[in-house]
Amino acid sequence: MFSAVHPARNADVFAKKAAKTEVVEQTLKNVNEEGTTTVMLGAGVVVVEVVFVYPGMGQYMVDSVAKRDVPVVQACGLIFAAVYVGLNGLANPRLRHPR
Amino acid sequence: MSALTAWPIRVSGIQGDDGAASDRRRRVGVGRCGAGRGGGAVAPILASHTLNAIIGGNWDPPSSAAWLGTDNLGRDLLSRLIWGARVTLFIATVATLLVFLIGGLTGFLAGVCGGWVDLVFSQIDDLLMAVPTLIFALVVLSVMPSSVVVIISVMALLDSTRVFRISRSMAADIAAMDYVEAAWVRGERLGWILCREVLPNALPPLLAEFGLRLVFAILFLSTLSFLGLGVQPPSTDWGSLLKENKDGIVFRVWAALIPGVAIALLAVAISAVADWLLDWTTGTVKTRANG
Repeated sequence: MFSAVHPARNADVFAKKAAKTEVVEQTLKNVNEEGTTTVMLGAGVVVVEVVFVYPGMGQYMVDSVAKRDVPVVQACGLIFAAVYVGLNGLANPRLRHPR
Repeated sequence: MSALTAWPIRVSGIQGDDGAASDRRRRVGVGRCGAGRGGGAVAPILASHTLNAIIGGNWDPPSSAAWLGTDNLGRDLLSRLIWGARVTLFIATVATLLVFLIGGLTGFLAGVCGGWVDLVFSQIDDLLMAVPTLIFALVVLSVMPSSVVVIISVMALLDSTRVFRISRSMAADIAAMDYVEAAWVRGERLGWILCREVLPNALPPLLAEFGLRLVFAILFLSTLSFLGLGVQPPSTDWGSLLKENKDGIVFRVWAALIPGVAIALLAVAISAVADWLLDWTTGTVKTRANG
């Protein structure tokens, strides 16, 4: 992220004294790689929550799988997948700029 | 060949490093892999105790009877590691072989045939990739039993999406070559083109990818077992060992760390071998034979 907002990479934007939104937009374009990593972390949260016994959705999902509580697992899976797809849509330049 | 030598996945080392470093990586990696695999294969001879024999108190420190101490129920940790290596390596290897069978075959078909075949396979692939692998596995395991067959099938299906993309892009590159055109003109069949033209040319990167996928399979299986949804007791694997002993970290017990260290060492060793294999197959390393 730090390298993504570095002025040298966004020289043209800063030179134009662009509006804040444009800086943000330009930065987000540079943040693709980091965005993809964030997407990967979206699923990793399940493991992290179990390791640190943090009562989040990941822990809830794992417990529900063990208890065979299928509706809960389906709902959690749907939400995780939606977040994953949403973040991918933000991060993936191929999806943002379709041919 | 430039596409092959510029293959982006590098697990360790720098592009174009000298042969000595690569050779060292190979020897260290092969040694560690050999220790892991050999240990797993001859577990009945190596392990001094059976899998579930209780030999002492819980979390005893290392002694002459139990070299790495005992686990949370007083079982010999070293013996359990050796028995667990069998399960971990068996499931990971079979799953990875299946991954390459499914992903490689569909990827080559999509890349060579193009058209609607490519479209259908690619869309299915995108569909499967749209759900995070761990979440997908959790959903499947909530309705199916955590048996070895189910775990292997889920891992194979989910990981093959990645291999599909790689083999499809390589097959598409190769299918555009003149020698493939020549083979078509000669009247060769699709199967012949896939096996004799595409496969040999795509093999070196796929071999390196195999090592990488094997590492991911081991880590994925360990994750599932760590969550308690993978290998079920009384059988055990390294992820289960980690889960059983993780609470010991509060009491400064070594047993909490050892299974994790074993997983990490195995992953690094396999990566090193895959890395050397890539160097060797793409000819970027000077071996002793050719100076």
